Amino acid sequence: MKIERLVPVLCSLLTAALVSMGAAGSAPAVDKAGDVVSVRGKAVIEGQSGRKDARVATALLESDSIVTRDKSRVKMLFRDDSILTLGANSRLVIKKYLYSPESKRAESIYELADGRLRSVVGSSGFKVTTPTAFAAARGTIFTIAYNGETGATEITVIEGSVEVRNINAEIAGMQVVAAGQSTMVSGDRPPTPPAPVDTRGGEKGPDDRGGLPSPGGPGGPERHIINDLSDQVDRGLTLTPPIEQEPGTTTKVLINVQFPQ
Amino acid sequence: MLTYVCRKVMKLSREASQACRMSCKYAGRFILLYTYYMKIASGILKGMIAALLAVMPALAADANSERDYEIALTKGQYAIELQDFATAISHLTKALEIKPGDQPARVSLGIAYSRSGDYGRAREVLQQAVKDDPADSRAQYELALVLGKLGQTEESKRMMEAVAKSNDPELSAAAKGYLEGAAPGEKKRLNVKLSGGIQYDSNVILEPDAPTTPGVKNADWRAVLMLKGDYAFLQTGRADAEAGYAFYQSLHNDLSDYNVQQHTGKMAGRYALTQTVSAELEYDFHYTFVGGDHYSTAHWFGLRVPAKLMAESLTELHASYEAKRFFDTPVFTGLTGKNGSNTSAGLSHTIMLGKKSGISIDYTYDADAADADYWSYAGNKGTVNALADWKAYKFFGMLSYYDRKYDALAPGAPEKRHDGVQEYLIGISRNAGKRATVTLSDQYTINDSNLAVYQYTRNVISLMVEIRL
Repeated sequence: MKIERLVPVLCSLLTAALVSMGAAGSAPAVDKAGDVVSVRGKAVIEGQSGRKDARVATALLESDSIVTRDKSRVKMLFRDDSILTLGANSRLVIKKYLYSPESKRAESIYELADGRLRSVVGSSGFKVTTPTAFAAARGTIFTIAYNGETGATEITVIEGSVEVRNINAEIAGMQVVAAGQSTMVSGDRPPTPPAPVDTRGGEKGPDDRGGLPSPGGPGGPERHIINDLSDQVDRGLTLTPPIEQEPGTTTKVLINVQFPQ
Repeated sequence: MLTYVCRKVMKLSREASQACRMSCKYAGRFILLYTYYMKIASGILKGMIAALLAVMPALAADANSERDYEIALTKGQYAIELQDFATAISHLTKALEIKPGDQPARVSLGIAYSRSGDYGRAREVLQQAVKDDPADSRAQYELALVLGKLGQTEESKRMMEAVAKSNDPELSAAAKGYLEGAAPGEKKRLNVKLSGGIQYDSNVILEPDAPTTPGVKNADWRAVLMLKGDYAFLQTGRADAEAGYAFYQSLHNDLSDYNVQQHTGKMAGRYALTQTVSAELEYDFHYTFVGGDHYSTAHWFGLRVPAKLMAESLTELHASYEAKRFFDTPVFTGLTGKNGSNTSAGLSHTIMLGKKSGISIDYTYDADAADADYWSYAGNKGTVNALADWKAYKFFGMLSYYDRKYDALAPGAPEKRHDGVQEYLIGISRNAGKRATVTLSDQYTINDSNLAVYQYTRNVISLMVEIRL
């Protein structure tokens, strides 16, 4: 085999390695709404570029749908500092996300098609819809859960206040739900009057690691890959004889050869 | 009449004057009272404003405290995932300021310090976290890792054993992995490895692609045995030193003149210059036999300066000097012209790609100075190594290109020799129990040269077993 044939292969492999390294370190900056900051279990993101597994640092774009499976959870950090945590068996669609880097505020609309969502809302305009309810919030912490079987939406406010009405704007009746209160919206009915609810400690969702990185995460025990790569040279010693050897035609040798019979 | 008028005028003026005095007196009293009133009102107002100003931020802070805490905590934990530890420390410190003593924020801050290499602060923060919540297994796990890094191996081991018994399966598995020696930082004093296996070598004698004597046997099977032992006679938090010995023996099925036996003595030391940069010095003495005859002796000195500039990468400067002496044997003659030295310098960078794979890129320049100048050369070598873990398997690969330009014209050669050596290696390893690893690999070498007699290809297939004693 001649070098002319192998050099392009070598260059291609090197280029592919470098490109993949570059791709691994970069993320689409244009129109990015936020990032996935932690994933537990299995979750996927369905967007214009197709369907992909949700992983830490995956970029979220307007019109993306985030879908979680059983015993799963996804935590997302948006550019306006809003934090959304999607519970198990849920689907969330980023319907609209307009962010102004100058004011660091966003106008956002999310659709919770199914499941449970916990929202920590920055000072931006923040709206969530479900098939039965519409909620508008600013500077609050609240949870919203939609039960597809009963068609009911339950909204519980932990901090601040949330304006809630039926998704059908023609149905009169809006409720302002304050911290420590809960309301229910179902069918063609307006929201129920806010009722006190105990929100102490029970509204953080299934975050059993407290958001801490995995024990095997960055800098954890799996860092041994780097040490193993350093040791790879040592392992190579057993693969070929550890001597400087030249082709026999220049270093004259006598070989005890046993030819095949 | 005039007198009457004058009296009236005087009386009126006295009355006016009196009225004026009274007016002034009352006006003065009014002004005085008004001033007092204004002072009091102003004081009250000022007090109210001051009180309001004092209360408002507290009210505002209280109103947003939970939200601001969650934002700071989430950003800090995300920055750890992104390995941006300075940002992580900033956010997590803010989270702790909002919620002093908060356990998730404190443990996260400890992890950020630990993974940034600031083990002193990490220990301080994590010890407080363990003290505040002795049942927090994650805090114990992270503290055990930090203590291991700081050389407090017994305390680290004791704590990790407790974590291994925790109910959290992920944490328990990580702790067990650490105790089995998967984690860095805990080194045994004596390390002995025994490797053995079989190889098929397609070109033992490095026969050229266009052989001058066709039909010569150049492929053979061989058995390989290697024993390697290192003893660390110095282990402190900052400096290590070790002595070692390695033995290599190959036994060919037919080409026994190419059996290699090598003895290597080693002395090595490492000194941590900073938390992230260290210097490593090594001296090796090689004594080699080929075909049962003394073939070469070499003294090798190496310097490595590894630097962990980022958490998941290692950048390393390396340089070496080797003094070599060859001896003619009944089989190999004309070797003494190769006596001389080799000097090299290079830079390598190793990074993690995800959690279970990595890639390293190396560039090395070397210059060989031999007694016979046609053996002297200048070389440039680029190497890419890759490694990936998958369950119990480890996949590895290497490719390199080594360009060597020789300094002078060899006797009888039409031009100066110029070689380009390509090497490709792929392999898979599997752990067989805690102490053994089985490796299957294939290494392909193409030596392309402007002189046909130096052009050859070689393929070595290996099946090796490594046992860690």
